Amino acid sequence: MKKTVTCTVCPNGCEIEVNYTTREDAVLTGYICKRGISYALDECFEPTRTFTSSVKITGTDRRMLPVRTTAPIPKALLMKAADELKAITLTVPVKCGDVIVENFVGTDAKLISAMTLEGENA
Amino acid sequence: MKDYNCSVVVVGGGPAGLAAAISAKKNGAEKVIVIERENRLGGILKQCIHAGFGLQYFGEELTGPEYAEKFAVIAKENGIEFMLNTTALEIKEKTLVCVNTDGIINIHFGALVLAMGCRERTRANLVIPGSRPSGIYTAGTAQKLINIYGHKVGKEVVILGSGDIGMIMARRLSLNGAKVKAVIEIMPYLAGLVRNKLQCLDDFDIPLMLSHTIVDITGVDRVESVTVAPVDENRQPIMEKAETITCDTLLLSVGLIPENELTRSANVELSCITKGAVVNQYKQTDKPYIFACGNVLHVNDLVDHVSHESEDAGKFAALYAAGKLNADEEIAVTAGDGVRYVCPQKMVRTEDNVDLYFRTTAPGRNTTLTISDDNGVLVTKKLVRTTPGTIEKLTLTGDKAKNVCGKLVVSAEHKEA
Repeated sequence: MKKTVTCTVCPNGCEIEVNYTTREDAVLTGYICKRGISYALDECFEPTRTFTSSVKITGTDRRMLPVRTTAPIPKALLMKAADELKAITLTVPVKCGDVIVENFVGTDAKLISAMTLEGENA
Repeated sequence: MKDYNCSVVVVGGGPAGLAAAISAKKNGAEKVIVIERENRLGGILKQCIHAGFGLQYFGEELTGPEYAEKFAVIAKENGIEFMLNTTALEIKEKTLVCVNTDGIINIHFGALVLAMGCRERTRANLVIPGSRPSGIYTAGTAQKLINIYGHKVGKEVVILGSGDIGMIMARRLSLNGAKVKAVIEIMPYLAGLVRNKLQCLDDFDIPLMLSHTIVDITGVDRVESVTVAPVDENRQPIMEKAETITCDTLLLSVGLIPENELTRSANVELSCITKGAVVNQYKQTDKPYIFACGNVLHVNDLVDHVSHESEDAGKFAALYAAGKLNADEEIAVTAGDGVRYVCPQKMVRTEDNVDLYFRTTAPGRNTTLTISDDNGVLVTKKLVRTTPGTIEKLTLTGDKAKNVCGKLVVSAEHKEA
């Protein structure tokens, strides 16, 4: 397999070519630094993303509470993650960092609140 | 009518205003007041629920609300006073006139920091022909409707402009079940960050149409379709190659304009390129008691950078209010070949290091960035890649800054396109 990955670790934006059958025997070209190697391999074999979204909240003027995962989750689970949020409704007060779901979408990551909402003007 | 006195007043409780206020307080300002027109601090970060903030400033990846909350907590711990739900109306010499439900409020200040941010360019700014149905939003308005109020803005979406907010909304809409049919960019290159193209467009198989624009919008009550055409090298649409894309929603992510109405009321000199105030390295405008920072000064790509820049503005505003910032000879800082603008536009002669921030005019590789004065090159930096979407920085060290001859020119030269 051959894949071109644009590295996003830093603004250099290396175009890294990966020739591979397995992660172990992959041959990479086009990277400037080592960080590009692990980024490109992750993108080929286990791409992950930090998931951020929002869930319904009552008791304040803001209708949606921003949430995120505590660690990146597999890219393939993003749509499932979005669907799981539809059933959740919280009520104030909520603190930034409060755990909303443990083992979110079956991963080790937690879903946490990304904002403190106490009431109308807090 | 109520009257208040303070050392430093900051207009705007977003990331720029919070960082400036904290820095003013830490640099000796006795009383610091922040004026905020909304009911919560944080500015635009309140609706930027995606991650990617804070990598430079905090060394960790945060969402917008988290980044704002960290600053708001520090500001409160430092005894900064806030006036929420309060709108600044006018600057009259060293008095800021505000209004809220209590009526008119006059704030008499030693120094003022402008931190009002920016607003989005709209369809009216672009003059897109066609009918005027509902379903046309600026990307940031759609972001607010979805992320704060939980509304759905549409099912089949076309996005004009490849700015970061537009791409981030493409992902947000896709995760919410909408179909984003295309992102259309008039320039031959991406306007926003490459990271956002990969994680917001490529991850969801959303096509990016470079060198294209929208030439017509149809629909009676609601958008029914947009007509998209490629553009030639003069950015003129090639109508015979136009195609129609059916959609019910059009988002515009076509640039931001610093919100400087208040600045104009004080007759502060503005730059016709950045649309923000003309400042020296202290972020001080031509009215020496007025400072500016963040997106109201020039539109930034990273909030981390806004925080650093605003800390400078707050610090020097505090020093000015205390009578400790002396005026000296000002040297012009100008954009040379390959550079669109430099901020600051002036440099007070100094023995301290001076950071110059600028944007290049076109993307390229193996770029050499330079600062020169009338005697020749003072600073050189080589970069693998530069793009107008990324602000670059060069530092003029104090030993060179004190001996500058004539004016300073910042230039960029690409070895490869």
